[in-house]
Amino acid sequence: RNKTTSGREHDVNNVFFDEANKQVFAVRSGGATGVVVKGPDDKSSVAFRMDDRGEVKCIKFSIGNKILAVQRTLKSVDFINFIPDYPHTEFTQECKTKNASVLGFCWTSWNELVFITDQGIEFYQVLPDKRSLKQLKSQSINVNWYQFCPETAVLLLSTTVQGNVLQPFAFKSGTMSKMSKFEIELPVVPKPAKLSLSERDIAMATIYGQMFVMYLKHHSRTNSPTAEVVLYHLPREGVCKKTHVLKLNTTGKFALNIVDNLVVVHHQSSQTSLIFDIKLKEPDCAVNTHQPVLPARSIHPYRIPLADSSSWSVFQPDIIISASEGYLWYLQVKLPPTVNLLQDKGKLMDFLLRRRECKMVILSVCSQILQGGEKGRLPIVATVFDKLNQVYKEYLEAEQSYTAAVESGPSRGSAAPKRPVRTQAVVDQSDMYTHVLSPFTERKGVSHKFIIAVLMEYIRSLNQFQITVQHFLYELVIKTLVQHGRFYMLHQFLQYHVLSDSKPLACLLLSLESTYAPAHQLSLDMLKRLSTANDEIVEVLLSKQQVLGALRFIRSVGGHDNVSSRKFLDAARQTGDQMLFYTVFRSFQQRNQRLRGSPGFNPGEHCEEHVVHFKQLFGDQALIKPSTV
Amino acid sequence: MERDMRGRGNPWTPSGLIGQFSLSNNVSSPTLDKETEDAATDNDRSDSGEFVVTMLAKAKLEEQGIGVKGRSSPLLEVGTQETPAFISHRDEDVTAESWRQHRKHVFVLSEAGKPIYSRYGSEEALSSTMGVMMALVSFVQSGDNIIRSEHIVVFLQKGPLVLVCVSSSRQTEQQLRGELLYVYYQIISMLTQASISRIFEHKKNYDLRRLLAGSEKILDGLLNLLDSDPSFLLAAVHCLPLACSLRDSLSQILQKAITPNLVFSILIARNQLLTIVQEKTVIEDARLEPADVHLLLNLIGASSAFQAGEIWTPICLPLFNPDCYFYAYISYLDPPECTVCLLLLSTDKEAFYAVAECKRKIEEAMMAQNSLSLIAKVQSYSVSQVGVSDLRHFMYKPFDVTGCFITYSKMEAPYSSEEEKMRLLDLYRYMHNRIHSTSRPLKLIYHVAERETLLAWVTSKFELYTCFSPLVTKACAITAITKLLRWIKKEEDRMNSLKLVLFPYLS
Repeated sequence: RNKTTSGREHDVNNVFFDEANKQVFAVRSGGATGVVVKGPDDKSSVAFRMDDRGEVKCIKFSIGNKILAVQRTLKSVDFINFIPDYPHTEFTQECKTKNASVLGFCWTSWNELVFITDQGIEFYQVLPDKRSLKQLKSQSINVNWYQFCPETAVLLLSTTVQGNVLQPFAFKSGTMSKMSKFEIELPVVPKPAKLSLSERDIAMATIYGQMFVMYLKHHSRTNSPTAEVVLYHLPREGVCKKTHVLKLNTTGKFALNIVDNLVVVHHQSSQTSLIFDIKLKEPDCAVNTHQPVLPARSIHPYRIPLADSSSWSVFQPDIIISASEGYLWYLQVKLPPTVNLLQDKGKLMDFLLRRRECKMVILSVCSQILQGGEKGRLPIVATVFDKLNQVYKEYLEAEQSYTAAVESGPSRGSAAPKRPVRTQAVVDQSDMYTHVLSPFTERKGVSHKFIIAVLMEYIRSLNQFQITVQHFLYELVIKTLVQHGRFYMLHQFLQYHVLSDSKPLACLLLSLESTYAPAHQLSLDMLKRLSTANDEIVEVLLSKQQVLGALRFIRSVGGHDNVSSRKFLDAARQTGDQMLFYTVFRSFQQRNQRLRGSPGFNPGEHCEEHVVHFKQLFGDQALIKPSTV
Repeated sequence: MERDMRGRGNPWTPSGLIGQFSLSNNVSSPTLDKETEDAATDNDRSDSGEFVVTMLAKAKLEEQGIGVKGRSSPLLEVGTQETPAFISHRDEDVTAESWRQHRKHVFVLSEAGKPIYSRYGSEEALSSTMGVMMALVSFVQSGDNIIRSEHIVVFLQKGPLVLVCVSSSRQTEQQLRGELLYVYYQIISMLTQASISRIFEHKKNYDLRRLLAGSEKILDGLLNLLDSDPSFLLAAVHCLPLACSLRDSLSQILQKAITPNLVFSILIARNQLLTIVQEKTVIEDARLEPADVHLLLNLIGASSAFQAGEIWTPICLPLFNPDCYFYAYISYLDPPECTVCLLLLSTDKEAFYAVAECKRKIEEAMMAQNSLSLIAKVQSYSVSQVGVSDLRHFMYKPFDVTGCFITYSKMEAPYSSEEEKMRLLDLYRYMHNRIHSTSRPLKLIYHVAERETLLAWVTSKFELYTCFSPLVTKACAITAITKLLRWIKKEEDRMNSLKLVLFPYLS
């Protein structure tokens, strides 16, 4: 199989790579065959020996390293148990089709695998205890070559003479299902017919959760002057359709990787790579045609300098192996440089929001947008905020419906709700506050008008997506307004409820009273609207000696019968206003009368000194007499 | 100036003799003749037949006991300044800040700029100020100029007199103008309009204080009443609430004690009206105006001279007729407490003895019926009787046939102090002004003030002002008003059964 690459370094004879387990097999032959297996996550490599029974053509562990399969001939595959306590001796399975030669095999689970022969496929279950295989299914079909996508367990067979009719099969726990076949449009139809579609030009990958078959369509002298990558969407059910065309705008040798849902096309001669995002719509192109997101760039080397790329082998989705040098690389996309490569900030944001490690980059883009000149910035800022909040809102909604589903309990017939995953693209208000907005308001040399405009723009955007604005943002607005003495604007914002009510906000307003006196009333109004802060309102009013106001308020909310008379009488007396004391005292006498049928105070209310004080001021006759009402 | 000083100085003669000015030839009291002559020499208006101002020496009255008759006028009572406050007001330093701080100044001056009266401080000290005021009057009159001030300055010109009010109270210009008019009427009540005109026609820079000397107290008293008595605000007379039967019996007593030329018999207790009885034909169509009654009540209330015995004094009722005198017999019926006062008004200046005889009859009849002790027991009602605990005070003026009587509850706690009473009255004045606004009259006002809530209501049947606790709710106040009106209706007999009782003309 071409998945093996021979290397002649040291005494290694052959190196194999298994895409499914991402394991590299180093096979030394001569006498007994020594094998060293190393996966990307393995701390130490696995080494074992086996009898040298011919040259190894293909070697792969089943999922979980349970069973090793080794192909040494065109007719059969050998198996070795790696399950502890199971017999270790090899056993062999010959392909059942007469005169067929095995092109290769693929594990679809820990004990199931499929043989691909030039005449069809054979699906087996390995019975390790019995050291035998049981055929589950087979399908007879002429096969030129095959591709297997371990992630989706889909096998793609090249059939027909030209090889451009592709037949996919899907495997799932003991079953094998035939998917609808499709045809790759060839640039030139050869006459007479001959195999024209090479397996090198076909790759399978999952992009944004969808399976695609990528076809590297080389330029032809007649119609297209440059090469392109054609994407065929391969649904589990239904017809495979050509959906995207990636314009490479150049010719030569290419290789494909998929990283972070981006299609990366390496161009060998220029030693650069192009990045495509199939979700990024090009306004000036047809819907399915894409230009590279960014200008072509070379791969940034990781630790070791990149040598001759001609010896590289590229595996899906994101692996590059240089067998001659003994390296396996994972390809990654570094997002920070994209910030300066993509001028259209809206597009940049769309691009970044779909990436895995995007949060800090997004935040730095936001900060960057707010820097520099203000002219014409606001619409860009608005666009960026809207894009962020769109994603944020989608997450919040998902979270909300998840919570609702959990609360309502498991419903019959539907699966248990899945908690939505919070990706890095969810940039919430505290992210924005901490990394962007707060530092921005503290920056020197920015006009306060622009600062306020930006803050309001963010709030506007949150509102537009019906996201509850958190109070710290309002606080930031208020602090900025106060800092620049924009009290009138502050007042307007509050009066017209641009800044939504909250207790913390009301408290902030209270604290602003010394700088801006009306803030006190604004705060009280806000507390009143909140309707959950009645006690606070009473305390605020009493602290301001507005005893009547406090009484009127508590009565209006129906709490008059429960308040402490002593508290109010204390407050009234403290004002030194006799008239006020009279009013408050009499009102509580009336309350006593109404509640208990007598105007007197209970001993528990501790109002004795106030009764004495009242008599001193107004005389006994001014007390409400028990009989009058 | 020199002349002013002399004119002022005259009454304070060392002997305690106060002297008497008379512009009339026919002074009927022989005992006072000497003094009359004395005063007449000081006066160049001796040819006036109607103008009589009499001064009484209290010492003399005491010598003679009661029964001083003649044209004695308590208006010019001096030497019995029982209220120290008045003295201090007269002696105030007009340059002091405290003088400027007064809530309401009232000045009266002649067209020539001569000072006649000042509420605070002496007129002499203010003569230059008065000159400035006169200048202001002419300035404002010529060309539509206005005076801007942190105070309200109101000018009122009535004939040759200019009255000025400088107020820092919340009263409106209109209300202040009304008060100045009262001051003017009080002066008229002492001098008549006709004689004032005549005096100034004859001599433009006449010093009217000569004729008013000693009467400052009455004007002071009037201004104090204007500040403190709500009945002026509502242009109505306050009656003592009295059981219907008692009031009827009092009216009957007055009705029976009549004599020719007696036109009004008025019984007053504690500065409130008990009853009025009036002569049938002479003033059949004319009614005693509340303002005239106020002047009479003020006259009696402001002077302690009447407590000494019987007084016979000419008095003009300016709204009834500003140019002629009635002759008033004034005597308290319950010395030495002096709470119940009888006022008999005759058109005959010689009728003293006949009228005094009426008083004797009245006294006898009241004695027989034990009326005095019944009156003594009568109390103004407390608002707590209504039984609405949020209600603090009310004033009620029915628009019935008699038209101009008012009743109000006692000013009780928390309106016990003078400041609080004044404050409440100020609020009532504010409400009155709002509800009777000429540009936008209202029927009902619910006014939440800082320390109380007020509700004023004017209908075709009554005018009502109420003061509630500031914590009252609108619904509660409305309920309370309904309850109050029901209560008033029930008590109306007792409170407002004052009817005009007429007696037949006796020739």
